Amino acid sequence: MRYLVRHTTSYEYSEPVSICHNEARLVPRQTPHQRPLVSRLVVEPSTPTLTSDTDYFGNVVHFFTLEEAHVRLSVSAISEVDLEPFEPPALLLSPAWDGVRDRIRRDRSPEGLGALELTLDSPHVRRADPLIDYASQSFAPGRPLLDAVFELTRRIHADFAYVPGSTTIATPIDRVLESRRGVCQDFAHLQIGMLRSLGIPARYVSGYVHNTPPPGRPCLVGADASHAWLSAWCPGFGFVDFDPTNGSIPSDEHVTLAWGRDFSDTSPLRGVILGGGQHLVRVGVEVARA
Amino acid sequence: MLSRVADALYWMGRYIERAEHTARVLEAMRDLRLDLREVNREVADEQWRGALKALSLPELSLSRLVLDPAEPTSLLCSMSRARENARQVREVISPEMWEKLNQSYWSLRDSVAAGQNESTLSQALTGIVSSSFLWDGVTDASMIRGEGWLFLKLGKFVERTDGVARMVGARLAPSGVSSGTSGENVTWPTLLKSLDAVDAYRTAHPKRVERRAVIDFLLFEADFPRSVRYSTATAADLSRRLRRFHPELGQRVERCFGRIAARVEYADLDTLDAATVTPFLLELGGSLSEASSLLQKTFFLC
Amino acid sequence: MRLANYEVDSRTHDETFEPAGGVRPLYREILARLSDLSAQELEQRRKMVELLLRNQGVTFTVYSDDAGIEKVFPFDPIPRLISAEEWDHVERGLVQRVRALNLFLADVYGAQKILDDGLIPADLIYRAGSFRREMVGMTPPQGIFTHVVGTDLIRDENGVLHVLEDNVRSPSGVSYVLECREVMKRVFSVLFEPHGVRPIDDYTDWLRDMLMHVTPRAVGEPTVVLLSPGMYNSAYFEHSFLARCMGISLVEGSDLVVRDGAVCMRTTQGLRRVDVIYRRIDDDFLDPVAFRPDSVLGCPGLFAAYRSGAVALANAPGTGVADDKAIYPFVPDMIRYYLSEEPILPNVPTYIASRPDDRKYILEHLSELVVKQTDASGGYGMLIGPQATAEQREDFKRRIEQNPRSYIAQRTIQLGKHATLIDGSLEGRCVDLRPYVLYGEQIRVIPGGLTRVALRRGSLVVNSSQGGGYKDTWVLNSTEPGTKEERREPSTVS
Repeated sequence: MRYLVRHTTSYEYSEPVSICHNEARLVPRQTPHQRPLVSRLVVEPSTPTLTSDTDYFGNVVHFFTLEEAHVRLSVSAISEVDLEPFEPPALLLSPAWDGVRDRIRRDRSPEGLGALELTLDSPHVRRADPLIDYASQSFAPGRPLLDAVFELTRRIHADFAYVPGSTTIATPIDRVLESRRGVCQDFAHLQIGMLRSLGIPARYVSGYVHNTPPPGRPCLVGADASHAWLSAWCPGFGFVDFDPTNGSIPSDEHVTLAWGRDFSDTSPLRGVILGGGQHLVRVGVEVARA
Repeated sequence: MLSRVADALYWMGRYIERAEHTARVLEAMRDLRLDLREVNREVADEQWRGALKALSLPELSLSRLVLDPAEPTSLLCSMSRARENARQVREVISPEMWEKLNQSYWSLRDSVAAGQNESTLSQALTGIVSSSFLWDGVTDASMIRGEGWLFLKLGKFVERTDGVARMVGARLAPSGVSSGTSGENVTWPTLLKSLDAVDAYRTAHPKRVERRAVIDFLLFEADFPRSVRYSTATAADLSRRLRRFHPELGQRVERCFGRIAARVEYADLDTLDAATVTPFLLELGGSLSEASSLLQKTFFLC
Repeated sequence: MRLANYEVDSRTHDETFEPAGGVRPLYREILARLSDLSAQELEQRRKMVELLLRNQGVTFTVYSDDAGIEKVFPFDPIPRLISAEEWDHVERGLVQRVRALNLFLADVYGAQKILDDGLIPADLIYRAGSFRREMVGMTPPQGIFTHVVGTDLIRDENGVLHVLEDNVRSPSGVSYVLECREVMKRVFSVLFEPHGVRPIDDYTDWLRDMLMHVTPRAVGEPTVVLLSPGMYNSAYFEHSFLARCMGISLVEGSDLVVRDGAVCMRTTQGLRRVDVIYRRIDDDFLDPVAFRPDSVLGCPGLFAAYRSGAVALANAPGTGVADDKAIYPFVPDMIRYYLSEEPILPNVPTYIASRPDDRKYILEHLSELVVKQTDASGGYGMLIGPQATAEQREDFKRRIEQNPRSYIAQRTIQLGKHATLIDGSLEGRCVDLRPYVLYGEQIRVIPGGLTRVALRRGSLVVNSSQGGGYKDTWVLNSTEPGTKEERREPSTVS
């Protein structure tokens, strides 16, 4: 499946901004099922200094600076990606979750160390007992890891209401757990927190979902903006994606942009400005079949 | 040199000169009020208000204007700002300069702690004037003659020109005392006193203190270090020396200060009264602030 | 000054006096000279030192009420002496330690072999707040991370020096060392006469040489600046002092700007490119784009410029992971691992609860140990064994058994003492020592360093904010004083 993604963020300022520095993670990643074909970052007003680097998690980061006064800034990322449809993993064949948990503590291979890091706290996700209380009914001793994780994904989808505007990026996950409301980012953080509290490595994934479903399938939530889900790590399977907002296992409708420990490692665009007064932000995402 | 450092030096020069000038004016005005307390209170009050206006100070009691730490325009606060500026640029001024300013500041703080009465106020005022003299001496004896020294001195002489011009202007303001009244006899000597010009004036004009001669002396005397002419000529000279460090950027600044000095040096005012002097001073004030902002724009706001 | 009545505390090591009360040979000459001075004379000179320090603005700022109060760091005129032999040992130990710490940083931000080999549990690194993921894969100019290190050393009951802490972020205090030596020479020149005291005034030259050494650009004379948070920082005096001594610009974040990928400073002649930044602000505040977005102290874009190699930072960001409380116990192992050498300077004996033997020892000796939780900061999660109740010890025992990876324990050490002038006579007071180590073309250690002294009787706290003062530290050229003139009769204590 080939998609054309257009992600535009525009800022309007009440007073001129004399200088701004930005960091963008807007280029889709290469994965076993995803192949980025073309990616372009268009900044207006145009900037002479667009450099790129790769961050700790392998995401491509672009840096740019605008040194001329401006009252409007727009950053568009236009990408074309190929997604290869694939069979969902054989969940029941995955190893027992508690065995994986114990093994990670001893595994010192580079892969094991990377997984270990994803069982620890991160800026937006802290491990906690209430998270275990909610998750544990899906994690009976010996149950196959991926099977248990998917059940948890579906339970979150069933128990939590998708209410745009009910939370902000600063809302902690224990509040989300209490109120049973949130948006995709909250659900991803929540399930990551539950998995890590149980000792299972999980990472945060940012990206997009395609908004025109095939006939007979429901429209996916989160289609008009950036989307977020998570990946759980399982020996022999690697990282497997789960989307608690839609209660599904992503296949060829999720375009992966970046990943990290949580949102703070993947924020698509962040920057520092001098001046500007009040500002208005508009974000537009279009995902179209090419 | 860092723009911020150059800026701090320029303003340090201005703050210290302003503190010295203010202290001297306040002391002269206090004496005038004492002298006229019985005779002509009205004139004394009017002079006091005129002076405060010329110094851009609010109408507060003398003690608040000198030692109130909560009053941002007080002399104590000016000295504290000068010291803060000095602290920011310690790596470019000489250690002795910092030590001197630091000591002056602490002795002023000690006066605050000692309580405010007539004698501490008087001591504080003379203390500020002599601190400024000492500071000048230490600066000239120890600071390297780089661009930093030039900015510091430019600040000083821009501030001095402005201060003297404002005082003369205030004396000539329409609300001022008209000639021939009883106030006339004391207010011109007071003006000289407030600019530390009494002895120098007497040497030049041994006979009597007279309006025309006082104005001529304070504005146009080439050799008196607190006259407008001397100050503008010094500022022009300093800006010329700045060219050594900034052959390109310095050009416009040099011309600007040079024009002011020439305008003062070759001024041709026939009557030397409010009708001629006031517009002259207004024009001078305008071009001085233009020159100052050009200097800042050129070197400090990179 | 009277030397009689000096109380030697038998529970600790006293550097000036022997347990029986006699003056240690190293100190005989200097104490003889001090006892020639009357108490009044001594006090007068001490006051003169303080006045000199205040006039020069050698102050730190204490924020107790609305306004900051400037205080002179209390100064004790009795110098601390270190023999040439002992210093040789300390110096070798510090050089060894700093080399190992630097190799460790290159490794954790590189191949992470030490984690693969299981020498340090990986989660200790990953959950350390000071581990900067942004630094992974980055090789700083000349491969140096820890340009300036201030290692804290303490003496135990037997007089053995131990490393208490490695300060590898942005250690301060060296200006006090340099200023107080100048003042001592002016006021107490008489004390210097019999001794060959190693000079320390080369330090700022060394520092400048080191900073120039790490320039990423091959230019004739690299532009080096010192980046300070500004005059309200408590160490601002030191920042301006060092900048002045090195003849470099003292800049604040707002003086810097990133243009075309290079860091520049705003000067009266326009923008001027900066090659090396000796930064005295924390990682978090360096660059609001890369780190804390609310920081106004740093320079936006600085970190990207650093990563691209356009500018050098000393110290490198992320060095904090090497002096993390949780990593400290592993430094001796690091030395063995990276250098194949035995550590010259020991750690304070530390037990790591995740190691079965250590855990057993900790659980059996809880009442003698200080237990620290390594993933908590501040005093939270700490057990001071000798002072704890049985209930508290029971609680910690349970916590350690449940989660041994989060705990370490250390022996409590009776801090060594040194003769100190208190109200006109000598009394023993606790001291520590912070030598400064510079890592440039070679590794150099300032002869001596900052000796901090807890001025309050019985206090163990040497911090300036809590009643601490400091002394001059003399490293002697030879251990035999009195070569210039006849030896005097040693003073003794009855």
